[in-house]
Amino acid sequence: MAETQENGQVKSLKLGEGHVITLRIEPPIMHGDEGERRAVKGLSIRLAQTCVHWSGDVRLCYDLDIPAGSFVTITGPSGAGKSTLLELIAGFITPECGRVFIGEEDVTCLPPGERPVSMLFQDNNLFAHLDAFTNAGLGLNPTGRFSAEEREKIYQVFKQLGLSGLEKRLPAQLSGGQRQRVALARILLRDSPVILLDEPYTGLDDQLRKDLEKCIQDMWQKDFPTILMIAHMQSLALSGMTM
Amino acid sequence: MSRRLFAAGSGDVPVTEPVCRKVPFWRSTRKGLTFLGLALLLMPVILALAGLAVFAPPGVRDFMETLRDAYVWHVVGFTFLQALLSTLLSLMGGLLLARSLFRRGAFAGRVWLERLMLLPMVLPQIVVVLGFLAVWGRQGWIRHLIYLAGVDTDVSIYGLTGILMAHAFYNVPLAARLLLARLEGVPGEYWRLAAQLGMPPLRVFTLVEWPAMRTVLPGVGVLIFMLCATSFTVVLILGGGPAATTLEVAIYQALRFDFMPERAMVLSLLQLMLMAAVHIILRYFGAPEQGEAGSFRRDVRHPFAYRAGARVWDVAVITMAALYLILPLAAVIIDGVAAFSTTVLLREEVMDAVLTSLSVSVAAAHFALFVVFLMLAYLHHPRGILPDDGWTRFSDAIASLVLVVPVVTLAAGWFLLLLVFDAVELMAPVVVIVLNAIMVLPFVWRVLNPAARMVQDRNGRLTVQLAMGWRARVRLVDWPLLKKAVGLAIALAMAMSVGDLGSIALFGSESFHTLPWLIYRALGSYRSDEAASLSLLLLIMVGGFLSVAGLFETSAEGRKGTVPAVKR
Repeated sequence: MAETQENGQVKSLKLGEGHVITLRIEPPIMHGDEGERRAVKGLSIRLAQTCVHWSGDVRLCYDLDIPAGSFVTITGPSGAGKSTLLELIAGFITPECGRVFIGEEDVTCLPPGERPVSMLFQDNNLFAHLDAFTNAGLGLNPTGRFSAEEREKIYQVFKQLGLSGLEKRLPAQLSGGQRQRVALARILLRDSPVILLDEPYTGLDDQLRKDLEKCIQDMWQKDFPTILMIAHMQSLALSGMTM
Repeated sequence: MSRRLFAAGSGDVPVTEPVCRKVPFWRSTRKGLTFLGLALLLMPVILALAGLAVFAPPGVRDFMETLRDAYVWHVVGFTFLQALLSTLLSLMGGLLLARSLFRRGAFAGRVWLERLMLLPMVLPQIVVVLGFLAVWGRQGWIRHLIYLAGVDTDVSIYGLTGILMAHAFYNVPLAARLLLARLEGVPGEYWRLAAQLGMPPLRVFTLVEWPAMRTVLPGVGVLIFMLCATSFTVVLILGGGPAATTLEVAIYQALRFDFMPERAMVLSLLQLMLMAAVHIILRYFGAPEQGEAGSFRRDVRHPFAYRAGARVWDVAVITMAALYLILPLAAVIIDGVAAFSTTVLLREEVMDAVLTSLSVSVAAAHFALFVVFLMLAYLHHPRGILPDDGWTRFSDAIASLVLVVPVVTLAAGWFLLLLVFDAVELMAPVVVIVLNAIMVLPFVWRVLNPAARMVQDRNGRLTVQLAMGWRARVRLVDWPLLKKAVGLAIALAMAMSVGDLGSIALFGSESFHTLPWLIYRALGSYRSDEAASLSLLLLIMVGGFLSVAGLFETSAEGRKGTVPAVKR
């Protein structure tokens, strides 16, 4: 089933009757320009015969192994079970059988907050009543009471993502692209080894999508966290051209 | 026990036990807190039942003897009859009003009329009844009008007539609002199609309007029946004698005047059985959805909206309904102003009553809020999902069950229990507060439960992902998003409990009394001027709470924080 392509390996995964998703796994770049060995922060992810109840009699079973530091792009028709995979890894659902491993650790029964995972949801990514600065800062410190040092760090990331000046805005006062970047800022600040992105480009036009894509690529290439990203078919086709 | 599951693509995977061990509820903080909340809510009910049990006749034979009491069966019969008639009357009136409101669409004053239709739910019953007497009574406005017209009738408002009229005041608006929501839910194409086909009015009714409303009619009917069967204040004052007495009033009289605990106990038991039966029926039909007031759609009009005949009819129906609602209120205000007397209002007794009423309602509202918060604790799911499990159904069922626990019956149970310990006077304030809290709890629940569920649905996953502790979560997420709903719930709960007569009727005394109790006493000794000025005072207090509630409601996003539609 697996075939090797120029940029990574493409794998088809049959989860159940009529449920097929495709993973394109891009390995981390292990050596820098001068041949030095680069650090990989990411952890491997393994799902061993992990099944969840879908609907009626249908059961989706995941069996996959993702090497540490990979960038995985997931595609498939809607309702195929792409988001369910991310939710299994993030811990929002518990499987009916099988185990979930992140790194060496069996995280099957750990609640989401105790897993080394950050996730960008499809919607409700930000607390609508908190300003952009607090929303992003919660990744660093979930109590929302930031020290001077933490504030400095948050400002830094805002600058890095081109969000400077928007700190005091509420999510409703931001554009779709800005909102996604604030959520990304939170993920950057949280600095976890596994990052899950559920259709981050939804609703963004071409230019904004490219900007966000660059932010995500930068985040990956900095220290290679393991990234799993669900992409629209369409955006995958586009990213195939740019990458 | 092992079961085998098919795992597509990967062959058979035997499953023998759950992947993760389930945490028992006493080890889970959120479920434990919800359990505590439910226990706090059910405890007073159970203790009241215990109080009733203490005075149960010693043997089956004695029990049967009490049941043979003709008076008891007369009371049961009347309770049933007046509730049934009230329900039919309210449904018919509500149906007419809903149709007219829908057909007229937007008109000047519609918003005010819809607010007016919400008002009976939160007004003190004793004030409403006084207003009713002032309009329809022997010395009332209508009587004067009829007399001026040269007719001298002798129809009295006391008895079944008055009870039905007062119950219609409460339940016609309720039925109309629930039915209007159904009419507004009819797809616009239906109306257009009916117009295009040139359907006559009767066909439109049988083919479009009736099918839309029919589905909720049983639910609305059972709800209204239940509210009328537990009616206390209305029957106490307008019943006017043993001929027109419901179970609640009979229980009160058995304890307060005749002191016949055995009879009170039997009546209470019958009341509980009646309520249980009605509640089972209500669950069978499904409680009606609470319609949004003013969810009016401008785009589609009824095919007959522009016919002259329909217009005249609708205007007549709406005007009559508005007058029916507004006259008693106007009467309370006018009579109150006319009878205004500082000597009455500044009496120490009155000041005492105002303070007691305020403290009781503040305490009751906050106790109910505390219990509701505990009951909602289970929403903090460790995996951030919105729980929709046994806890959801159970807490919802208990919160709505409390709606059918008749307050006077509960009070009777407590009265009997405390009698055993000779602590009626000592414990009266506590019992009145707890009973008021139980009474307002379903409404607090109805404001806060949907709000809290929405908060969890939108933000639950993010909070657990970020590993916020519960302190940070309450401070950063729950409180900022719920504080308006909390404000609304407290103001509403206070407005409802400050005017309640049901619980204070049994426990009130010269040393512990509230404003409604003083009004009732003044009424009982024919001091109608005193009753009028005290009623105005109570109305002003309730109006104050309601305007506070209105502030919270309008500042809440959209019109989501809707005022709950049911009041006993």
